[in-house]
Amino acid sequence: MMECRELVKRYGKTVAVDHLSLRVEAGEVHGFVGPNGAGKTTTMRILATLMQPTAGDAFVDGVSAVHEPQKVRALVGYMPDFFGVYDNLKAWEYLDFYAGCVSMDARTRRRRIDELLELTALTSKREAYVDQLSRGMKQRLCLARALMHDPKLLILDEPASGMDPLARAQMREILREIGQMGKTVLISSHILPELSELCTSMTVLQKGRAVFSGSVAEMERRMHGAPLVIRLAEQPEEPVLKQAAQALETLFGQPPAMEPLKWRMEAQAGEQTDAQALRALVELGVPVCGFGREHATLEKAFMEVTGAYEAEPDL
Amino acid sequence: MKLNPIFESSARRRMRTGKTALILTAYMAALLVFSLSQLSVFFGQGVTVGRMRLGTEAYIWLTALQLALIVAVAPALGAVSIAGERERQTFDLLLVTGVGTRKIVLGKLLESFAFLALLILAGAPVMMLAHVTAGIPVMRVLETLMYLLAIALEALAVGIVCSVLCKRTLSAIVMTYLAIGLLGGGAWALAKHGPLAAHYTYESLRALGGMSTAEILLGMPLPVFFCPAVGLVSLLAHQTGILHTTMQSTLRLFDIYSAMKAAGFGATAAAGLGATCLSTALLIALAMGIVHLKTGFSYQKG
Repeated sequence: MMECRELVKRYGKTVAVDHLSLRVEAGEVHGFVGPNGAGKTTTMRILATLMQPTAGDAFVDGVSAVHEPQKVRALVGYMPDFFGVYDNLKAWEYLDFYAGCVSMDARTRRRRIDELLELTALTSKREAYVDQLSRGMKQRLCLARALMHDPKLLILDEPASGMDPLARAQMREILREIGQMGKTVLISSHILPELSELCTSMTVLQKGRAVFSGSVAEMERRMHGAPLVIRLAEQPEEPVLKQAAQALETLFGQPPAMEPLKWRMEAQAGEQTDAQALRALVELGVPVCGFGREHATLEKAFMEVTGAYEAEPDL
Repeated sequence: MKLNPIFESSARRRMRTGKTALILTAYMAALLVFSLSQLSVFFGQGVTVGRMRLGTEAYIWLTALQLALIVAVAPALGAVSIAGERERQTFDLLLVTGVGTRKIVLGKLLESFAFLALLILAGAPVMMLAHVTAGIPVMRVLETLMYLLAIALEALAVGIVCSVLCKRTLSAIVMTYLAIGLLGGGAWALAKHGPLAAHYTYESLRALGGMSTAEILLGMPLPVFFCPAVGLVSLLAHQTGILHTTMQSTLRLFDIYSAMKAAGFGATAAAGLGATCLSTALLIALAMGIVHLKTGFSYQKG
């Protein structure tokens, strides 16, 4: 559905996109992740035909964004990270204006505007002036605008940036609904847990190159094992402490890192061993009040893939 | 009929702003004061030749006021049109719709023109008073209004070109005022100091008796026709006759008056209108060309 072939974009001596090749199949919700300056926005702008690559090509539904931009524009809905709205225009008029720009006839236009206002939960704001809407509402309205001509590919650059948690949750719900409509969605975000919930696949960019491209599950699997964290209600006696440390070393092959009331075991030995460790600690009389592996987060995976803090990630 | 969406939306937004209401009100108030002062000469008194002269002068002053309005307002209107979209970060959203260069430029131009035309035509009833107070035929007044509208369109087209070239509205406005100043003052300077100017001394034109109007017009320095004020002044001279003296004492400095008089003020005004329309068309084509170059593939080239 969407493909980048050896895409290169240079700004003077700076290489924003460096021989990027990636492919997104129809119906996928694809996340685009990377630190600032990784080339996400540049790649998205090339796909939206707002920028010409220095070399390579990008295709949407087999149509070249370089050679047939007008055709690609009909296939793509684009929502930039920063955008303005017109003042003195009501929400429905704003959408009506863009419907006119995509040459939609008056009757279809009315129905489509109603549908999009409903989808983006803005029906009650139909008569409100656009410049008086909250940031979250403006973002949703801009999303509705991007969907106006029923595009096959939706390119969303940081759609939830600057939103409060409630507005982000609303946006997430809408995007989930759009994903269920079967549209191909390319979405960039700095809020990785949200991407993991929404996306079926993702690409991690760094310095203009794809350092990972695959499913979200695969991305999480790449992460090294999460540590076992044991929390104690109170500090045990010294002999118990020594026995517990020995028991854990026997089971995992290495001693735990012991802080007051919190022990940490980095080694991995499977869930059975974790269970045995818990039993051993309880039998020794260690007052365990918390026991479990830390959740594998996408942030950690991202750090690993991009070389851990190397480029001051924007999370 | 499908309206250009950019025209429709921009016009709707403009008419909702307080600034528009303020401009309209102020202008209408000025016109009201002007028309009352013009009519007060005739209150309770008969029409005499002397008073008709006052009526004619009032008509000329009103036309000058309309021209001043165009020169003051049109650059700002035209210059903000496309640069404003960029500054507001809405231009990209417009481009991705695939709306096309022609619709963008014409939509913006026509919307600004519609507003300016509204202001100019608001002055029409007051200008029509010249029919009563100065005996100027209604058709002649309509000619003047048409000419003013043509000048307004040209000034807006200059603004649109600058708007396309500049990223910021402020620089676009400054550039437009400079360009309009150049179009007005520069045309005079070229006419005076250009290579063709030397041929048109008052003395040499005395001997032009056998030349046709077209020959005289074609022999005149072309830049002079591109100064909209030349055509408008010629039109007023043609309509009223009372500008001749003024023109002779001022314009003769540039040796153009003789040629204009020899060709006929009506013909000079028509040539001026033709040049205004031609330059407007060229400017619109230029603006479309620039937008197309910048956005035909894309807005930002690599």
